[in-house]
Amino acid sequence: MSSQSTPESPQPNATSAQTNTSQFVGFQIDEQQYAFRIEQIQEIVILDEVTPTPQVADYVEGVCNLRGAIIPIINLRILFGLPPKAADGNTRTIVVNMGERTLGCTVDNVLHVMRIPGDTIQPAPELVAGDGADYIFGFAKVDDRLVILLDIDSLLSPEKLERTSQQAETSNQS
Amino acid sequence: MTDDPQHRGNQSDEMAAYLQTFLDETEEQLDDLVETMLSLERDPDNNEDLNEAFRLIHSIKGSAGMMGFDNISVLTHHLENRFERFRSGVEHLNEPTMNLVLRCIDFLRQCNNRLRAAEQLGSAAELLEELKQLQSEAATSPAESSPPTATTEPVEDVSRQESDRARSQRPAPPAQPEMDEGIVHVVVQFREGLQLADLKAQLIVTRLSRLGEIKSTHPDMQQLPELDSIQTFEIWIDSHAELDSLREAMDVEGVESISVGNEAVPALEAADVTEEHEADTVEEPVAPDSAQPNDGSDVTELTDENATVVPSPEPAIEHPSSQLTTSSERAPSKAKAPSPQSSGSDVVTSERATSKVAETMRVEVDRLDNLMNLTGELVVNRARFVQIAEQIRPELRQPSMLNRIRDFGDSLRRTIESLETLPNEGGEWSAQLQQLRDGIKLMEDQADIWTDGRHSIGQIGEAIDQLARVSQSLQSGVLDTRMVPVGPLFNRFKRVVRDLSKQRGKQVHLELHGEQTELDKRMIDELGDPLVHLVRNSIDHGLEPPDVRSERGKPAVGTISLEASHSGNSVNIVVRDDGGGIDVAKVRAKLVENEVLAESAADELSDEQALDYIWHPGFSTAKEVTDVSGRGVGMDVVKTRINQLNGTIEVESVPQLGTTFTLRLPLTLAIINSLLVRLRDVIFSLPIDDVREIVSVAERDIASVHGRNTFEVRDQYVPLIDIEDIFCWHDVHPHNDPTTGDQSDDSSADESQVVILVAGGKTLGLKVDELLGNQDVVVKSLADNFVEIRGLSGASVLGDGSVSLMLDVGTIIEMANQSSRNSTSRKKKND
Repeated sequence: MSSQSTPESPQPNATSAQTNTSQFVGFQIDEQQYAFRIEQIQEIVILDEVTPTPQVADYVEGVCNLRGAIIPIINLRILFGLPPKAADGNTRTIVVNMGERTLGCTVDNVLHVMRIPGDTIQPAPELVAGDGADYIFGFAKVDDRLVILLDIDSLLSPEKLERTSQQAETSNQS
Repeated sequence: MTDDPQHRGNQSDEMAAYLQTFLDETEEQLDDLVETMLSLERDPDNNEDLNEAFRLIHSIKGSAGMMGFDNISVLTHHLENRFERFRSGVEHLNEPTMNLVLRCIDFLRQCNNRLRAAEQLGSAAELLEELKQLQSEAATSPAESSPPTATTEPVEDVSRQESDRARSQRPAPPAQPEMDEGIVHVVVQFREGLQLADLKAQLIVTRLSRLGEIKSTHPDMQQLPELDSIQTFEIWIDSHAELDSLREAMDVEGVESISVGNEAVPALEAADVTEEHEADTVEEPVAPDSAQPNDGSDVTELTDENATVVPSPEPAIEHPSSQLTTSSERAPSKAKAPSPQSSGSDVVTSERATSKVAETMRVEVDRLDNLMNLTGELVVNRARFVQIAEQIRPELRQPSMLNRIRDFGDSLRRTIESLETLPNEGGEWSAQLQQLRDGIKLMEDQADIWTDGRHSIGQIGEAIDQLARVSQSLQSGVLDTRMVPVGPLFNRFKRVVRDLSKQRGKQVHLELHGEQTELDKRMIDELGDPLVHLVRNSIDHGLEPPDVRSERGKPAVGTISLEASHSGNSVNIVVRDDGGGIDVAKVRAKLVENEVLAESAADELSDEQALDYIWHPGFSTAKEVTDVSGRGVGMDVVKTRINQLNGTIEVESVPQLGTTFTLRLPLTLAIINSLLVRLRDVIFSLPIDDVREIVSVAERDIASVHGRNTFEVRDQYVPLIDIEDIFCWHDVHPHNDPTTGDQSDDSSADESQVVILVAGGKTLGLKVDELLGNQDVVVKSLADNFVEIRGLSGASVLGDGSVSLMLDVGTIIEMANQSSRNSTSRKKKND
């Protein structure tokens, strides 16, 4: 991912008019920090067993039983085209709700709940967003670190998943 | 329950409660009516059917009237009039009427749908107009002028005498546009020596007062308690309700016979009584007249009577009684029985009426679904318990372990005693020995606790067994409640076939077999469309036109049969026609035309393979879109739907002789008995109905034919596949692959476990790493949160909380065939 590249971002006030603070759940993949809006997050769990499913893209780890419901588990590392990494003590699965669907996202580490004021969110630079990566809806600086804010619906809907992964592949090769 | 529109407004809540019952019943009655009409089409003068049709229309009219759906009741009223004439032989049922009646039925169905959707009812004006036209065309006899009610209801002997008497007093009232207008005279005969007959009479009056206004009774209500015995009880009631419902209202325990006459009281006509009139204004003129036949009920008593009885319909009684009437109305229709004459006959014991109510009960499907889901959860929990019970080590159940601890304690104690005999220098060891003794004591106390615990463990085991048994019965009980016969589903096809064969100019005879076979309600609901599609296909493409048929030496009338039968844990439904069979050459041509296959590839196909292509999504993009079959919905949709139900479908076609589609369906959707196997460290469940057998195959017995492994089982060569051949996997977390690692080396150096699967008439051997036994699993859709995966029909939670994937065996076999055809798929694994 072209991550730490926001030297010349447009003026923040011009685009983001809202000033109310939103809450985000931050997580980490490799050294990069990301965040989901808290509203769509159901819970964060440690999964012990995932049943691999055949005939699916590589970023789908499989399905697991979340209190009787069968939910798919998406590995965000793989989705973003990063090399696989064995689960360790920090690995967490973020369970998100998208309309009627529930699914899990495996990440390296879940950080904490971040309160980010609306006016500090900067839109994604053309370089990234223009590439079809509309699942990135903004960047924010939290504790001097750059956090990429992800839009769950654009990232994880079944149609978008495929595209995201292809894009990750091409961006990794280049 | 009243049909008075003024009351309706206040009772809208109550009406809403009845609406569901009304809709359900009417739907059933319409189904029955269609069937009756179709049988009348073959034999228009069949009296039994005419009576049945009349009865059905009549009862629809009745309930519609009660609900206040004027559109429906007016239309059915006219229909009823028509049938009255057919029934009495005045006219004969002809084809235009037949068609019109069917259209009326369609309209009524539409009304039902709109009522369900809470939409405004459409107008039946057009149908009514046509009905009237037919009526006037046929109207030749003077009998027209007699009021419908006089003929609608079979008149009993007593009442006939009554009405004769009435007629002698006064000529029959002139033709009235509305039915049942005026005073009805009913005579109830109680059983001889009946106890508490006065209360029964009171009850009858209370019930009747809901249907109309009681004008007078004999003996008089106030005299009732004083009389020793009452045998004959006469009531004069001003009611617009049908005589049938009056009858039903009066049908209480102890009543021996009921006769209903239509005796108009002379003075009333003059007073022009309608229901809307206030009681007092009616009462004044009525009393002397109605008193006339009653030798002496007087005005004041009558008004009292009306004051007490009329406004006292207790809702508590009203509910059950209304259901009672409706369900006993419905019951005879199912039993295919008594024509109105006999059903309206004198002796109707109340036992019959009440027992019918107890026999069936309407339940919302949602509630059953909920129950089913809960049962599913219970099944998972049961599996968990059973698993835990199995994990309890047998040693814990046995007393030997504790005995050993006690023996050990005893021997320690002996050792201590022997130590004490040794010279003890200055009591140096005493403290340690005491400590040891305390330790032994503690150990034995623990052992005692364990003894109790062991007892409980044993009991838990028993309790789990018991729980398993009960939940098993509960599961099958819940499944049972959802089972309904396929009969009604099949019967729908009588109409489909009739309409289509008329449209297509083909003569078709529909045969139904095994209508009593039961299937899950949900399954029946889902089956309608696929079956309609198959039947349409048979009529459209299968059966030849009559001239071609006779050329081929077949009877001009084609036969389509729908057969249902049980086979083990599944139900087979067969759709068979005796048409020309599927033209394989045409299939090939179509495949090339639709660019599914290249011409050379199409030619290479065997007939059987070509036939299989009718399930291909690209096959039926029909050029000519008839409104019947080629509407772009192809056989592939049929197949998908059946597969979604965990079923399979296969086709068999013999040129010139016909086509047979065989659907195999599990008895129920949700819980499937499955064989659990381990493949690539994933637990898969295979529906037990698809498993033919499990065999061990030695490496040397596997033969390679065209790069494809096969082995011989009972003189039959069966293709052998690895799960890797059909599924493509990505391992996110690389783990040691147990299939290729040491495991397979030591356990099955040259023997592998193979599960032989059968679906859609095809057989396949699937290599598995481990067999885990069979279990009931609750199948959940993968698509709920995820996507459909081709080859998997769902996933289930196992007892230990892990997830197993259920193989869609029909699709797996298909995929195996495809992968062997284009053998490039194997390379995929390398990336």
